[in-house]
Amino acid sequence: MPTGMLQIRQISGHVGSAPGAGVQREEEVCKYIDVTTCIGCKACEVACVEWNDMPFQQTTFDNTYQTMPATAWNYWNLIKFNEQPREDGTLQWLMRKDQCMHCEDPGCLRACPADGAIVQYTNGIVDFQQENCIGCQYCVSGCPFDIPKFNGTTKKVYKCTLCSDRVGQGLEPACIKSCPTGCLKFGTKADMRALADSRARQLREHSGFPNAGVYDPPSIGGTHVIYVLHDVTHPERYGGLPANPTIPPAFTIWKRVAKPIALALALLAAPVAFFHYVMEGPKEPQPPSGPFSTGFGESAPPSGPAEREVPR
Amino acid sequence: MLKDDGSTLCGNWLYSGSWTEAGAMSQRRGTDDPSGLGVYPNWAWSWPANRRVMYNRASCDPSGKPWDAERRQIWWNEPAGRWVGVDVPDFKADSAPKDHMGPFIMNPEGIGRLFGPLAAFQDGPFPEFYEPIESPILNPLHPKQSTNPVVQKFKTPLDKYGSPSEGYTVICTTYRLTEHYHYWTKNNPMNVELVPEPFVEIPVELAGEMGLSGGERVKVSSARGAYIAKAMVTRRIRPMLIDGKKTYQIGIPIHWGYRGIAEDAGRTALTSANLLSPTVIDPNAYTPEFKGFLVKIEKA
Amino acid sequence: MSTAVDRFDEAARAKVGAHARTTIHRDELLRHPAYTRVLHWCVAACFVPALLSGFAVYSPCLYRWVTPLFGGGPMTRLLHPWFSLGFVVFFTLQFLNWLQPMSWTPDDRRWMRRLKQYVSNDEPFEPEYVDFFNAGQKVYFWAIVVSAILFLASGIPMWFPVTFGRILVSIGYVLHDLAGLVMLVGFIVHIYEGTAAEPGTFQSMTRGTVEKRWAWTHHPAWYRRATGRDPRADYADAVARQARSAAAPDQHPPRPS
Repeated sequence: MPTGMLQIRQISGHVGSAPGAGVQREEEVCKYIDVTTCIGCKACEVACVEWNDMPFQQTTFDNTYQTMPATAWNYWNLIKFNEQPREDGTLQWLMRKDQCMHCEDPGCLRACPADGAIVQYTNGIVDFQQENCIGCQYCVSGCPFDIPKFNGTTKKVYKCTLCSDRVGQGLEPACIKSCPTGCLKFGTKADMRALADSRARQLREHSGFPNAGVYDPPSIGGTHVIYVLHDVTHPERYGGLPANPTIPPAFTIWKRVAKPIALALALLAAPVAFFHYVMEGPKEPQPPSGPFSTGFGESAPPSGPAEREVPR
Repeated sequence: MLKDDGSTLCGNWLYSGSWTEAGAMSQRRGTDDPSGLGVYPNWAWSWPANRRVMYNRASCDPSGKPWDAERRQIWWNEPAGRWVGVDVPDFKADSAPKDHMGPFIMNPEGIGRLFGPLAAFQDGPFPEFYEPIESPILNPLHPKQSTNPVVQKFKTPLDKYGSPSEGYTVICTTYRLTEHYHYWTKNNPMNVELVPEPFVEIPVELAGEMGLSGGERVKVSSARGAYIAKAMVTRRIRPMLIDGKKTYQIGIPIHWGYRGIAEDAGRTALTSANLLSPTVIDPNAYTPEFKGFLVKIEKA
Repeated sequence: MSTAVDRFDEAARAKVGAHARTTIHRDELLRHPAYTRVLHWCVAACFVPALLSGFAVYSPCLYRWVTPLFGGGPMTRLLHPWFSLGFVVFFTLQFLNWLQPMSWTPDDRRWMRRLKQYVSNDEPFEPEYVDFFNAGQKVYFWAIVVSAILFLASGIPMWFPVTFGRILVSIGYVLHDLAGLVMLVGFIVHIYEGTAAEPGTFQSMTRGTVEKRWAWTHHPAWYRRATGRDPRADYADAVARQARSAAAPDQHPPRPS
C-alpha cells in the first residue's frame, strides 16, 4: 500500500501522467546485498513474513536448505542455496537472497493492463496495489526474475514491496534490519552502488575473486536491489539469476507503439463504412421498389397474405 | 542489560547484549585497533560483554602493570581504582592487584595450569587423544587402549556398541540447524515453515553407491536403534580417507523425535536422533558422545 | 467431414426446427432456417462481450471506459475467457453447419478479382456464379475460423500463465491482439454489410427469409438452385410487372404501408 510520504512516478495501464512524474525531490533508494558474506541464516525471510503478517504455509523437504523452490504469494523473500563445484574440485555453497529487484524499467509495470495496479514511486520502489489488480498475471510474464506470484483464491498477485510502508516513514526495510552479518544494507542508489563497487574491488584485489562484481543490470535500466557476487560473469549459478534480464518485446514495442496505432487503424473501418454508404449508397435488390421502398434494412413490407409457413 | 524485574525481554540468554538501544551490535564494523594487536573492540560483538581476550588480566604482572608495554590490553588504574584498557577486563573490574585475585578466574587457584591436578580430571593430568567408543579404526597413538578408560558407561540393554566388522562402517554425527532450536521450535509455525521435515545429510558419492536420490527415505541404524528420515544428498560432506580406507560420514540434525504442531504431523521422525548415538559420557564434562559413532545406512 | 458429423448437424437442425416457425411470404425465399439463426445469435451474444471485454484490457485508453461495462477490471478479466469459450463452442457448431456452403471454389477466386467493382457498386447485379455465400462472406467466415484457432491457442496460455511459461504467454499476447484486431475490422464490415450496405439482408437472420429479388440480385446461382428458375429471366419479368403497375395504377390496389 502506498503511504502519504511516497510520490508516484509511473502507473500501470494509465492514461495521462502520474502525479510525481518528472519531479525528483527525494533520493532513489537501493537495497545492497553482499552475497559473499551471507550466511543463509534466514533472519531476513522471517522478518519479511513477520512484518507483512503473512500466513504460514506448509512446506516440504526438497533435498535442499532452501525453504521452498520459489517465492510465493505469501513468501516474498527467499534465500536460494546452490552447491557450486569449482574447477579445482573444491566447493562453494552459494546463498543468494531472492526477491523483487525493483527494476528501474519494471517489466511487471510494462505488462500490466490495469490502471493503477502497479506503481513506481519516485524513490524507485515498485509496488503492487492489489485493490486495482485484475488477476490477469501479465506481470508474471513481464518479469525477467520470476517474482510476482498469484493467489488463486483472492485472484491477486503479490511480491516484495521493499517495505514501502517502512521506507515511507523513514525506516529501513525489515530484512535489512534483521540481518546479523550486515551483508544487507539500505541507502541511496548512489551510496549503495559506490559501496558495492568498493566491496567488489576489495574481493578482486584482496580476496582471490577475480570475477567479483556488482549485479545491477543495465538491460532494464539498473535495479534498486543490487548484488555483490563472487562471480558476476556467471549470475545463473546463484539460483538462476538472469545474466541479461529483458522485458519481452510484446510488452514494450508491441504494447506501447504498435497496439495504439493498430487500434486506431482498425477503428477507421467504422467511419470508412459510413462514408462508403454516404458516397456509394446501398446495393438495393433489383428492381428497386417504387415510392414505398423503405431504402434501409428491410425491403418492401410483405405483400398480401402469408404464403406459407414452414417448420424450420 | 537483562534485568530480573520483568522489564526486559530475551529470547535466549546467549544473545543477551547482541542488540541494544544502539542497534545491532553484531553489525558493527569499527576497524579501530587501539592496541595495535589486531583486537578490534568495535567490530561486531562478542558474548557476553564484548570481551575479546579471555583471562586478559594475565597480560599484567601482579602489580597490575602490563608485562610488555608495547602490547597492552588492560591495566590497573590506581586513581580510578579500576582495571581499564582496550579490552573489557575478564576480571572483577575493581579488584585491586594487592588483593591478589588470580587472573584465571575459572580455576579455584586463580592461576593457569600446566597440568591438571589429580582431582581435576578423571583421565589424567595431561590431555590425551582417545577414539570415541565406536570408531572405524584403533587409536593410532596406542591401539591397545583405543578409547578413554574412565569414560562413563551404562549397563542397560540399549547400551550396546557396534563395530565395523558388524557392518557399522559409516561414521555418523549429529548437530543443530540455524532454523530450529532443540525440540521446541517444532511447535512454532515459522520454524516449521523454514525446515519442515527431518533429514539425513549424505555425501553424493555414498548416495551414488546406494542408488539413492535426494528426498528418498533412508534408514540409519546403530547398535542401539534405527532412525528413518528423508535423504539430503550433498556435496558438502566429503568422503574421508582414514587409515587408507575410503570412509563416509553422514549427519543428522537433532530437532525431531517428538510431536510437533499440526503443520508437521505425520511427517516427522518419531524417534530421536540420539537413539542412535551411544550414551557414553565424557568423564569430565559429562557430555555424551553425540558427535561421532558408527551406523549403517540403507534405503527405507 | 465424416457422416457422423453430418448426422449430428441434421439432428440438431431438426430438433431446433421442431420448436420453430418460419413464415415465408409471397415473393420470398427461405434463406436461413431456425437452427442457423439461433446459432448465429448465440455466437454473436458470446462474441460481442468477448470482443468488448478483450478490448477493455487491450490498451489503457480503453480500460477505464470499457471495464465499467462488465463491473470493473477484475470482473472483466474473469468473464472474458468464459464468453470466449462460449463463442468457441457455438462457432464450432456454426462451422459444422456452414462448412459445405462456405467451401472455396474457383468461382470465389474469380469473385475476389472483381472486389474493386463490388466495393464501388459498379454494377447492381452480382455475377451469375455467385452462390449461397459470396467470396467476401466466405473470407470473413474463414477469417473467423483462423482467428478462433489463434484466440484459443494464445488464450489458454494467457489464462494459465504459470503452466505455460513467459515465452508462450508473450507470444500469445501478440497473436491474441492481432486476431482481435482482424476480428474487430471484420465485425465492423460484417455489421455494415448485413444492414445498411445491402437492404433486405438483416431480415434473413431474424425472420429467416429474403425477397426473391434480393436473391436473384445478390446470389443468382443460389436462386437458380433454390427455385429451379433463371434469375435474370425472373428479374426481367419483375421489371415488366413493375412497369405495368406504374402505367395502370388503379388495376392494382396500392400496397398497405
